[in-house]
Amino acid sequence: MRLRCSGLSVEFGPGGRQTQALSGVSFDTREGEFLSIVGPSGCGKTTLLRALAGLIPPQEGRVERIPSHADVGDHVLLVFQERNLFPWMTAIENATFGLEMQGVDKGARQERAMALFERFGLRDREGAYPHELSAGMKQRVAVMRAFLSEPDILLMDEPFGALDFQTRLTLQQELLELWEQDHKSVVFVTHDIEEAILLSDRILVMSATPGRMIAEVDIPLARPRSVEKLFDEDLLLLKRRLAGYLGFKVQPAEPAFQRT
Amino acid sequence: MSTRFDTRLKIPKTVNAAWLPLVIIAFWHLTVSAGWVDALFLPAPAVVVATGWRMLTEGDLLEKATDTLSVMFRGYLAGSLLGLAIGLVMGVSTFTRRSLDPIISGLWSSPKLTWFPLLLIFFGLGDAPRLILIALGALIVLAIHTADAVRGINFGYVELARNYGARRWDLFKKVYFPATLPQVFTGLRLALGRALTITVAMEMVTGEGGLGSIIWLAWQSFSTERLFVAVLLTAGLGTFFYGVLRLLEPYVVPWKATVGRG
Repeated sequence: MRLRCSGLSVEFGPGGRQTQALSGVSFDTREGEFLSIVGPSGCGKTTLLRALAGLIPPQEGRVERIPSHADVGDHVLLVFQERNLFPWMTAIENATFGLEMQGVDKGARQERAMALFERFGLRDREGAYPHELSAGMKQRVAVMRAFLSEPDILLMDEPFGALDFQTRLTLQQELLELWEQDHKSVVFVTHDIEEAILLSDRILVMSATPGRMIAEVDIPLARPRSVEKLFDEDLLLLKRRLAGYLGFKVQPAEPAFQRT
Repeated sequence: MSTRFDTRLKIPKTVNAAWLPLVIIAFWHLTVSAGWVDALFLPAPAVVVATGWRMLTEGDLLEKATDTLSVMFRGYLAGSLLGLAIGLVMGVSTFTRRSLDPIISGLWSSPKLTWFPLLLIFFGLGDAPRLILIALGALIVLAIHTADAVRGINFGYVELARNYGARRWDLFKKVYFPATLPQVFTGLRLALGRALTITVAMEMVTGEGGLGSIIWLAWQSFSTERLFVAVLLTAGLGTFFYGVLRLLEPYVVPWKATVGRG
C-alpha cells in the first residue's frame, strides 16, 4: 500500500485559540520503501503519523490509501512511542496480539513469535509481564508485534526515542534485519538524523510550528545495511546536509540586535 | 520497598508480625494472674480459650458463626455483582453516572445501620432486611470502584487495540476487563470488610442471628468470657477472609507490580 498525502493541514486546541500543527503537507510514500520523517521536537511529526493512520481528521487536504498487489488487507499499523504493551499481557501475548485479532490459532502464533523471540534475545522472557522487562525489551516486543501482524504499511513514531545509546543500536540493527525479510513499506518518524540515514531509503525534513515539509533527501546507501554504517566517514556529508535543513549551521558571531 | 532499617535487622516476616500480639496476650495474662484486674471484667486468655472450646463443642458457637457468615456472603455476593454491573454502566455512560451520583454518594456517606430499623419495618425480622443492607453496603463500594476503574482506563490502550483490529467484544475482553480488574478487586476486598461490619452490627441491634447476638447477649448477662470469644472470633474471621483475598490477588492480577508488598 502507498499513502498519498495532499495539502494536509491539522489544527489543535479549543475553538478560537487553535494552533496549527501541520500546514499544507504533501508527499507520497512508495511501495516497499523505508521512508523517514525528521524534524525538531514539536514540528507535528506525531500528528502527521496519526493523521496518516486515520486517527485524527485533517482540517484541510487528505490522506489517500493507494492499494497495491502486495496488500493483504487494508491495514495501516501505528507503532507508538510509548505505552505500547498491554500491562496485563505477558510478552508473548503482547507480541501475538495482532495475530490473535486476525484469528490466527494459538499454536501457529506462538510458533511464529517464539522464532523471533529466540532470534532477538528474548528467549525465556516470553512469560514476563511488561513491568518485568527493560525499556529495550518492551520496545523490541512492540516492534515484533507490528512485524508479526504484517500490515500493508507500518508507521513508527520514534520507537527508539526513549532508549539509551547501546540499546538503540541493538534495536536499530534488529529493525534493519526484520525489514530486510520482506521490505515492508515503512514511515518512520524520528528526530535523530543518524537513525534516519541508517534506516531509510528516503528522508523528508520538516520544520516546526506549523509543521511543513522543507526538504527531501535520498539515501543511496547499499542494502542490506548494518549499524556499523553509522560510524562510516562517508555519512558525514549526509549528516551535515540534513543538519543544515534543520537549521544547524556554524555562523559568525552577530550582535543580538542592532541599533539603528 | 525495604527501608534501610529493614535491611539491617533481618527478622523473618512471620516473627515480625506475631511478636506484638503475643506480647499483648502475655501482658493480658499477667494482669489477670497478678490480680491487677478483677477476672470478672477481664477473664484470662486461657479462660477465654476454654470458654470458646466449650461454646464450640457444647454450645451453638459453630451454628452462630455459620449463620453470620452465610448471611454475610449471600449479601456480599449479590451486592458485589450488582455493584459491578452498576459501576460498569456508570463508567461508560456519563448520563447514568451523573444521575446515580447523588444517590450513591449519599448512601456512601450515611451510616448503613441507620436504615436498618426502616428495613425491619418493611420486611420483618427474617433474613431479608439483613441481606438487603449487606448487599447495599457491598454494592456501593463496588459501584464506586468499578465506575472509577472504567473511567480511568487509558484511552491509549483502546486505541492500540483498535489499531490491531480489535472489535467491541475483543476490546471488552482484552482491554476493559483486565484494565479494571485490579481496582475492582480492591473494591471486593474493601466490600468484604464492610459486609462483616454491617452483618455483626445488625445482629447486635436485634440480638438475633449469629456472632453479634452472642456479643449483645453476653454484654447483657455480663459474661465477659463469652463476650471475648465472640469479639475475637469476629476479628479473626475478618482477618482471615481479608488475608485470603490478599493471597489470591497475585493470581487474579499477576501483572500488578509486586514491588512494595511486604
